Amino acid sequence: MKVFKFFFFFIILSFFTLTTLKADGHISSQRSRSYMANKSQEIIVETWISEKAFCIRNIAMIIIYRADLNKIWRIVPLKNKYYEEEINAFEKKDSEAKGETSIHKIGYNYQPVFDWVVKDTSAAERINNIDCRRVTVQGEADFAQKSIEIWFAKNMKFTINDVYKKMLSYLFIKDDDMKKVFNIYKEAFNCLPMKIIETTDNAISPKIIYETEIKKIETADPPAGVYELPKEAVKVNSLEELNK
Amino acid sequence: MKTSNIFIKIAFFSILFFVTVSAQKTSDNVYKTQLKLLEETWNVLDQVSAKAWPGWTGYTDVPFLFRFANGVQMLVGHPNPPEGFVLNEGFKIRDKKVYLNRNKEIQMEMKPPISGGGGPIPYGNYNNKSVLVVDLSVSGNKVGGDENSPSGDVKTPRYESENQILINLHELFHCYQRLIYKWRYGNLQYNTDANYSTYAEIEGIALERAYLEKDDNKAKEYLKDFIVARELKRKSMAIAEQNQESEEEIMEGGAVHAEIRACELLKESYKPVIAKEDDSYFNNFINVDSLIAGKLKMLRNARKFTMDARNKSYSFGAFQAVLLNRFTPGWQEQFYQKGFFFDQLIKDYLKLTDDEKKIIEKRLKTNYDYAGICQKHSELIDKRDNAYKLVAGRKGITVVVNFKNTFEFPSPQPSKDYYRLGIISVFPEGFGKLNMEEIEMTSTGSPVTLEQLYHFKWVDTESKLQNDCYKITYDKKEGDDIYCDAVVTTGGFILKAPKIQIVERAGLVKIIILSKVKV
Repeated sequence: MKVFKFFFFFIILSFFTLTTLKADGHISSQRSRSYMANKSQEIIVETWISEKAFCIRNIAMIIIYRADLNKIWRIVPLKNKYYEEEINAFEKKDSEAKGETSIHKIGYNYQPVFDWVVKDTSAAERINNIDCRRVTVQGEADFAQKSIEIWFAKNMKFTINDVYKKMLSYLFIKDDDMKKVFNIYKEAFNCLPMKIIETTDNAISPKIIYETEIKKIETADPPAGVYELPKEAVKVNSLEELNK
Repeated sequence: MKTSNIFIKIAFFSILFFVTVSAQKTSDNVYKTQLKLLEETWNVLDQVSAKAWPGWTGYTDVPFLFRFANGVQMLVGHPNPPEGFVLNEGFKIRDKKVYLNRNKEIQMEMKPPISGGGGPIPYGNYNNKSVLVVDLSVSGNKVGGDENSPSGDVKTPRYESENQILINLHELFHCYQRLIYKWRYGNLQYNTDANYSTYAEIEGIALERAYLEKDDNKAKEYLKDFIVARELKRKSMAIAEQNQESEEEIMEGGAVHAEIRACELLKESYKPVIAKEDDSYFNNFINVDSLIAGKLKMLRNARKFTMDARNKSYSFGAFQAVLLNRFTPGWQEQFYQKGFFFDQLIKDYLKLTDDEKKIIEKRLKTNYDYAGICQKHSELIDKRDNAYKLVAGRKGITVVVNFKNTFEFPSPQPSKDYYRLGIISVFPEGFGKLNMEEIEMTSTGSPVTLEQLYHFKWVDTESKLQNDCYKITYDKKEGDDIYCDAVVTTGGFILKAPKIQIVERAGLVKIIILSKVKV
């Protein structure tokens, strides 16, 4: 799920980079997680975006989305293994998974359904030399709560093309929480989220905080084969096998 | 008049100071006792670990985090204590430093005996890696008494600190397991059905019979019964769930097996490093037979329980391992490293044919009172499912009481039957009463659930608006939504609590307990 939040985050950025600069977009961002008195080392994520594909990669995982081939590849570079899914099939499977729970599974896998309150604080702040406004989001569910702070860069004029609209829509479906937040705060569709701090107080486990920040945005020639499978990568049949 | 007021104030604060200091002193003794018990755990392992599980070392390297019910946290042997922990020079054990975090301390006296449970968690980091610690939530325990008391009204066995030492040992074994085994299938999340519960009980009886049987050939026959009952039990389980169950057994059952082996070895020889003066509830493991018998009792209780699958893994796994000790010596060699399961090794040892299995299936029906066991579980499963339908069918405004800030799991004392599904407890006729420090919660008898360990949930089917769901009286209000010394009355319960927050959203009222004692 978290991976898809990333997708969303970078797709929003892709509108900016692709439509304003008319070249492959390159975004470098940092992400950290704080949990149980442990702040993880910051992970640097590189994203390349072209008209029909994007690639998100860090040391442990590469995700390549190919709208032209209707494929998503997840690659573990250290093991040179990959798992392939068709985008349409993946969407179908996800919607089927939301069916009725059998008696053997009731009471497990609690999924909070948040009621959101979004406030534009109108507070101006600069994030990496870009003017932003801070928006706070408070979500209350029966046994959990979530607060999100988003620093939006406003007044970024760009046009959303159809390909990316489709991808954006697809990515929103994977993250119901953010979909709902953005449907409430529709202005977000015309903004660039430079920084997001998401704090979740889960039903049982302690608070977990994710912090993501864009450090660099540019247009550049992508490295050769960035949207292709690595050479001699071995295909596996399941995500479990990929993560083994 | 003013003089007398000052005098009263001085007297009041003197008493408060005395009570506070006295409470802290008692609590300090409780912390020291936990350290002594940890020291004794290491001492026990120095004497038994190599025989209990070949290759088991490194147990003193695992930091311990004690979370006391009064909010104090004590960290032992952590290479890089997280913010808030302060070194306490007086509390050193062996070569380990001890740190206390009092940032969330509340004025609550911790009286012995206390005990704790928990498990390994990543906590803090060192050299850019998270640190694995044993995390124990520690709170008061009943002293208990003799089970055979003449009055016959004392049901809780007398508390012995040996139990805490075995808990420490159990968790340390989990830490060792992590070094030699990687979880492959995850926790078992499976609600039982009548078929499962019936054959699970037969499995448990077969394990006990095999364990108690002196004749090896007869014991082996009981083991065969166990294997066939297991195959029949698993008809309603997915392959992944079957693997999860077997994996839970090697993890939890493996740790209980380590406890049993430790007890067996301590019976042969043992030299303690702590004494009665360090902890009056410590008895030099003189009652080691009763500790082993306690594990058999655990097996008997677990197998009878209709609505739980996962907790069976502790004793079911342990007794499979104990029987492997008897029938296949040397089985522990590379056991975790090669990814074996207990039941798999037993199957390999028995080499049952399909024809044999058919014969055994028939004898399970007669040798184990199949009909009686099945009827008992079927009735309870039906009641459970009906109770769930009852609460799931209630539509209206949801009222939740959240106990997460208390550091304790609420455990009510229901006077009527209740049922479990996953981590939901369903109380179709109310939950009776709950007392936790200065919190008191009384059920009205309306259907309520306890979900996700910390949250009571009651659905108001009549009120139209959130604030019609409850009435509140209080001593003081802070800000818009925090109430001190509050009494909340709803159609499902009456809650008295020292400090709460009430958050309202469409269709939802959340009552969050902020403190279990007056601040």
